[in-house]
Amino acid sequence: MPEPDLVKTGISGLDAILSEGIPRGNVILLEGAIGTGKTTLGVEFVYRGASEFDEPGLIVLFEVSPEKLVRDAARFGWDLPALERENRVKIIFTTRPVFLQELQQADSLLLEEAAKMGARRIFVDGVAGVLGGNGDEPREVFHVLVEGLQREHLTAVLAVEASALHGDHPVALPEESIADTVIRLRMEDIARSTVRSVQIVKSRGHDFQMGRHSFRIVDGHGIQAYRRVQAPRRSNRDRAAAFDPTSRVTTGVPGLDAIVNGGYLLGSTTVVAGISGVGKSVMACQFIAEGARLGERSLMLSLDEQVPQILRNAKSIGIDLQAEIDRGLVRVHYDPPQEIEVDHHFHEIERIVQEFKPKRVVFDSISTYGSSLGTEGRLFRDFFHALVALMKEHQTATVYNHENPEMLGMSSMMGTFHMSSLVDNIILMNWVEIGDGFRLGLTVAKMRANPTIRTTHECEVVNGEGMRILSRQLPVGMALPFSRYQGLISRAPTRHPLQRPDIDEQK
Amino acid sequence: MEHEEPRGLLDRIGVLRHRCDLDLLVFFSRHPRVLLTSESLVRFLGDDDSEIARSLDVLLATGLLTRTQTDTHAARLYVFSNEGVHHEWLPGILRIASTAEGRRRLLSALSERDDDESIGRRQTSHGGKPLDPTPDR
Repeated sequence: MPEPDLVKTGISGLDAILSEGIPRGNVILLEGAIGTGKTTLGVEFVYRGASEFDEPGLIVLFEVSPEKLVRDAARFGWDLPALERENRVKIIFTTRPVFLQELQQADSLLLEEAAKMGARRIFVDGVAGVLGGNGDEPREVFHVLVEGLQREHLTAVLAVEASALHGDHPVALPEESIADTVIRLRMEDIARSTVRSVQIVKSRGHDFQMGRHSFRIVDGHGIQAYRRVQAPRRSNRDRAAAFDPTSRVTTGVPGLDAIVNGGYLLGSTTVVAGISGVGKSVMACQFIAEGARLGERSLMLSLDEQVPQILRNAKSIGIDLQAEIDRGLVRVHYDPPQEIEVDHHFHEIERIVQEFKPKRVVFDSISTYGSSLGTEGRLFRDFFHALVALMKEHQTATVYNHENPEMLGMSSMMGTFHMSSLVDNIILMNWVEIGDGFRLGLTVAKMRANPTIRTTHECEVVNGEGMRILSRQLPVGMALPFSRYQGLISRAPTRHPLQRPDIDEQK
Repeated sequence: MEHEEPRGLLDRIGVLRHRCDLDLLVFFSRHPRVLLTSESLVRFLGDDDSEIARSLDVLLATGLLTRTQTDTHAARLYVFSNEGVHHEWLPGILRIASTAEGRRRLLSALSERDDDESIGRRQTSHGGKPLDPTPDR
């Protein structure tokens, strides 16, 4: 089967969604309501063609003045006048009746201009009025337009305003059946924010990623599209979707490695669940610092605390994260949890992981994603699924902190977060009320493909030192060790009767 | 030349004599490549077709504007470019015309110059005797 001749748009992220481009000569209908970014996308298509792929192009305008278009393009760093001087871009201002008339003429001045410059691309901004503007059937008029463009073998982007697309109930335009490719842009209201999305409704002659993908219009760059996190990934991700059963990374928490079989396996997913304040972030810092000590790159992705605060907290337990950052062994990335655009956020994580290649990754915390994305419905679960797959593909030992709302004991490992089946290891941390004080318990609840001793261990966080696991048998000061109690995580611990043979054995 | 007065600039340019000349120059500088019929040009400029035809001839004569001539097409392709002709006055006049106040000053200078030239013509037709600028009461 011959390889299709694909035209790369050159627009960041869009070619990946289009599976490397659009078949040459396709007529692309670009639909969207006012302000969705049609003009920006169309102009970028021509700009990238001329500047990156040696494909000159025409921009045809009806309403926007070329002067303003050039000004707005400069905002993205696109020097259209320079390309015009080099005869690689031409911006033509005309009226819709003239445009339509021109495309019907065999010696069209417009197409002659295209031919003279060797144009391979054309963007026509606002064809809606052209279609049926003279009382003709829009479908027929569009057909005429398409025929004219195909005479010159142009790959054409035709922007059409479709106000009905603002919302979830798009009305099909009659031209959609004639166009080879239909790209739909939307502005979607999510709570009080607005997110832009791009959807490939159809595209003849090649494969593409279905569904709505987010995009942004970024100053100094242009359009940046982010494939939706649910979209199928490369097959090598599936092949790598298993942990390496031989390589472990140590946790950095004294005493913990012994109860997690020597450390977490590379490619494994570990959730540390517990109420706020039990020391999840402390454990995370120790895990990261341990990596740095061993010369392994470690990444911390935080949604809860900003970088300076993380550095300060780490310092309080004797960890100089800044020094490790300076050595290039640690990277701490903070993304504010408000109004997370999940596709963009995931894209950013993917970019960092690909670039930094960490061996250890910590997410602090996964519960904040739940607050932002909602734990009901598929969005959170799909996002978490994509994260797990990404980290497995890159064979990182990944720890997700999860804030379990239960203060004493634990009746559910993940609360409303239905993700325990995706997780390899689960460590529960909870307060245990004994006498008139709280003591901290740690229980390994799940270790996939590993022997698990599900006993609760006491641990403590010491100023300047961090967390450590205490012996189950030795008394803690005047207090009895955890081995002398039962029901530690069921909210009502009681002392073992001393005559129990197992206790006597442990003694 | 940075702060040259509109009147001085217009006198130096010479070719721009009417409001329509200026409006057409500004229109083409903002739309350097247009494919339009003469009717659409008249609609865009809001002047009558004879004025526009005359102003088009003025701009075509400067070399700033080129126009395709095709009998079979109602529309013509106009291309405006300073390259090759190097009219050094062009940026200055466009800068002044880019604001509402600047455009008013240019129009006022054009009108003033028109008046001066009318007076000059009348002086010539009266054997060179100066005319009393004060109207009869």
